[in-house]
Amino acid sequence: MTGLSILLLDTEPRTHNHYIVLAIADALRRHPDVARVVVAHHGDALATFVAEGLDTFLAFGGAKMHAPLLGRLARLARLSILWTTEDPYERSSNVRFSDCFDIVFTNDRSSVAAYEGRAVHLPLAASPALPRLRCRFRRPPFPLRPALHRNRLAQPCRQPEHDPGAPARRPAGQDRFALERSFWGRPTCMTARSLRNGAAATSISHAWRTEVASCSLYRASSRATPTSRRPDRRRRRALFETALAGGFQVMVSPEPEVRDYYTAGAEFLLCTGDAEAAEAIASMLAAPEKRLAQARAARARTLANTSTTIGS
Amino acid sequence: MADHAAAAWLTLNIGRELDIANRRFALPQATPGPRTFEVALSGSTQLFFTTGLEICDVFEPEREILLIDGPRDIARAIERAQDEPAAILAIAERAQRRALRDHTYACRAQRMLDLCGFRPDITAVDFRDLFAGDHVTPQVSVRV
Repeated sequence: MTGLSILLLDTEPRTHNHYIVLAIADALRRHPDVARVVVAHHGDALATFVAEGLDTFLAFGGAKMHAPLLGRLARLARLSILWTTEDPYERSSNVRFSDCFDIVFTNDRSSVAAYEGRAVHLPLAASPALPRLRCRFRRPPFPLRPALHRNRLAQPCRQPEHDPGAPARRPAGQDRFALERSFWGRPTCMTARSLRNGAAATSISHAWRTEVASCSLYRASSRATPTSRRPDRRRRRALFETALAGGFQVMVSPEPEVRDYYTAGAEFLLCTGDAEAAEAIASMLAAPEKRLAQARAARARTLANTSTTIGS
Repeated sequence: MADHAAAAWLTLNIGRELDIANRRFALPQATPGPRTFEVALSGSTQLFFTTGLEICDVFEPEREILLIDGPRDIARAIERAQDEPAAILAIAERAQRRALRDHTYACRAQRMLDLCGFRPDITAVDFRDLFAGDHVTPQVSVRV
């Protein structure tokens, strides 16, 4: 008898972690007990599974997204495996929707008990094949973004791409996207998630790959989730990191703590409300030299006062 | 990222502490994320911001990774990199070897299939038998 024929499905293929799925597929293909690995997409997974005569279904990511599809594939398969990567953040939904799988692997050890004996801890890993997969990074992991910012800072300022004819992606009930749409038409996924969840620092660049944030909106008022452990500390970090990255910041706050660290008007712009912020952003986008000068001033002050440089 | 890490003496790994995407949950993840393993495989010494002790299960502190708890630790590590570059490179080398030995997706695939009890000539598998014992430490080293 031949080895396993696996259909591998990335449950969230639009994230920058899709390269991990490719690395897993690469590793499975090298395994002596695996005959075939097919990386499928939501649209063709069922048809592929049947047409190719596959016998094993491996879902990577989470069980919540497209749960009916995952359930059908799991029932079709002789062996169905779920490898969750969103525990503990989506643990409750993963536990709930993982019933249809024969075995569950979770990336988070503290979440194993929640599956009541159906799950095994399996951390994520690395791949020697990563260099040839690295083109799959659509935007750099967070620790690298400041470096990317700095590299781009020296380049001529480019306006973010704007496609007036493209349909706006308007998440239901998200009125706060109006500000972003007025400038860029389509908010990025990152912006959408950040705003929806009340993140303090919000990049409103069109996309990291087309334009590193030349202008960032910083909400210093308390909009963080009630469950945040240390919102002030984290907001300050975002403030410093954006400044260090060379991002020009517009801050919206009635009582900004930021005055302790930066000078309004010279290193950032201070606004009392969204409307004023929108006008300020529009004004600064029309004046790239002024914007970059303030960004550079903020970065220089950050370097002088609050940063630690790691040599390479 | 691999290129950046490979070119760096030290890589600051802030783990999940500043995870923007998951900040709203205010939930610390126990297990180190994939970047930890990728940086090790790239051959860089990591300064790992310690939020839990599970990192000790995957890399040996001081020998394969440097644990930090704040800016002072970072400063000390930088000073050490300047004073003892060979020691820093040795840590990176040991971490890379460990990653190649224990933390590749080939290792994970092996582990996964082992736990699934896959046998080419067996069609019925009783998965209740798969959960006995310690499933944390990889038992099989796989050629990569």
